[in-house]
Amino acid sequence: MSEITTEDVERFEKLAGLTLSADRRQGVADILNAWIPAANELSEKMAGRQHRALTPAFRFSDPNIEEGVGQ
Amino acid sequence: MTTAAHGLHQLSLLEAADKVARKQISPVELTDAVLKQIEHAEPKINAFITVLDDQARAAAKAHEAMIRAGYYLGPLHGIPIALKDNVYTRGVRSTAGSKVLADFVPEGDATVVARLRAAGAVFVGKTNMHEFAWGGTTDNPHYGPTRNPWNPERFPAGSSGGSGAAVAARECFGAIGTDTGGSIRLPSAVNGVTGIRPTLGRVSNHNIVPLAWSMDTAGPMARTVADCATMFQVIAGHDPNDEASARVPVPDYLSHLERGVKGIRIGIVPDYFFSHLQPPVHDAVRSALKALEGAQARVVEAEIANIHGNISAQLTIESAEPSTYHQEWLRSRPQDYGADVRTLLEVGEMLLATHYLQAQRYRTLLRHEFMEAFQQVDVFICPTLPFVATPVGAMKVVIEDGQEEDMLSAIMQYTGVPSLTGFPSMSVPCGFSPDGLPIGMQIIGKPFDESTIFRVGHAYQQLTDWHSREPVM
Repeated sequence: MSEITTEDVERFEKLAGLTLSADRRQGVADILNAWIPAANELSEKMAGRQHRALTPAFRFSDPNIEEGVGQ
Repeated sequence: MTTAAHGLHQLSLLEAADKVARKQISPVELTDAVLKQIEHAEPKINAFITVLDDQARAAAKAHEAMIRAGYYLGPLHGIPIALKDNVYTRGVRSTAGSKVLADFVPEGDATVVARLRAAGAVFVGKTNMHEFAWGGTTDNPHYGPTRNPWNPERFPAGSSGGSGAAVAARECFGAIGTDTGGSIRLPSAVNGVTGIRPTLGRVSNHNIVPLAWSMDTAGPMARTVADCATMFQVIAGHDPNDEASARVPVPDYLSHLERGVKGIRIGIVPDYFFSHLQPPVHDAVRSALKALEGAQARVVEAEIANIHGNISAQLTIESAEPSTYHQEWLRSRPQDYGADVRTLLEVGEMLLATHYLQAQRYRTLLRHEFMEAFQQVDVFICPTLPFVATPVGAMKVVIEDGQEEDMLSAIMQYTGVPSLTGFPSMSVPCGFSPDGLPIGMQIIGKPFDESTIFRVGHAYQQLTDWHSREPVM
């Protein structure tokens, strides 16, 4: 993946409806460059056929758990 | 460091509660002792944003009168407690460590506060924190950095750094923290105290300033596991005001404490839990496992195939959700944020929805793998974080080979797993580095099985005295 530049950040700002001053863009680009490769790698893994059935779930809804496992 | 209690403020919560129940000491005496310690320690550590001297003394007098009249509310009656400043307190400003909310005075309590208040707790103050809980250093640009009581040149971690430092410095008998990516467990570890992140849904988040809705929790920090369990008993349980609150019965935690660890199966994931960490941390946690084995627990190696990837998932979720909550303020008052938090909020606006949702789907995958492993083990144990307290202001950390790493990613190495899966986990003191800095180990349990975590942690604290050591202030 090519490096995310301050010009890229300026384009992302348009998508987000957010305007950053020029001096803030480098800090944002630095973090995106550190995080996005790993985020893309995770996305690639999760897009795999073997994980297609997985859905986001925050709460514990298993009835056994609702009854209190391990108590 | 010292281990003997010379003053009332040095008692554990349960020791103090016992003396109150027996009318050997009064809530006013306890509160005065704690407020005196706050006056002594605050110039060195800055653990509080607001100290509630007058309110605490007034509450203590009222509780003393109740006890004299024969009304005893239980083990928190008349006990001085501190609250992280993102937790709403009726009539008392609750800044969340921010300039944005510097003048915010809630009209109502958070549910955890209301429950503690009803149980007789005396609130001595609102503790310092990383701004809006979005960071792990408590290097707060608006209220000053909190410093580690064990070495004021070192950080207290965060985001509940004020709560951790206040408990360690004996400025309260227990404190409430909040934990999204590790914010109770990290400061518990580096300040040498005990703190538990509950199962998602076990403790209400009502009237707590959110960081990331899908991972936020609130829990107690105290000197011992038994003290934590005592506070947890009061705050756990369903709350109709919190839509994510679970309808799961709350057991009697203290009655399970003394069951020991004989036959308990402790899971470890060797290639993740014991790689990429500073040697003193490695050695302390390994020694703790040996001590538990000596008490007839069994250590079992487990494999979690997709554990790698958890830090990225956590960073994505913990960025996108706060950026959503802060969207209006980031446009109307950007100058009122500290530099680090402002940048993280800006970054969170630039992650893709697909990044966020794949990270959320990864949580399900990780949860499934751990639930499978929980067929063979009762708890997992690992370090709480891979390094000891870094210098105040440091943004980088060296873990091995002299390589500098970004603090935010490095600090979540072990705390991210419970945060993503929603499992409960507790940090317990398990040693010190050669330069006298506390080390913590993390005990991870099954959903809603905080009882077993308390049981294992308490058993460990009967075998060791790390938790009873205190810094010289």
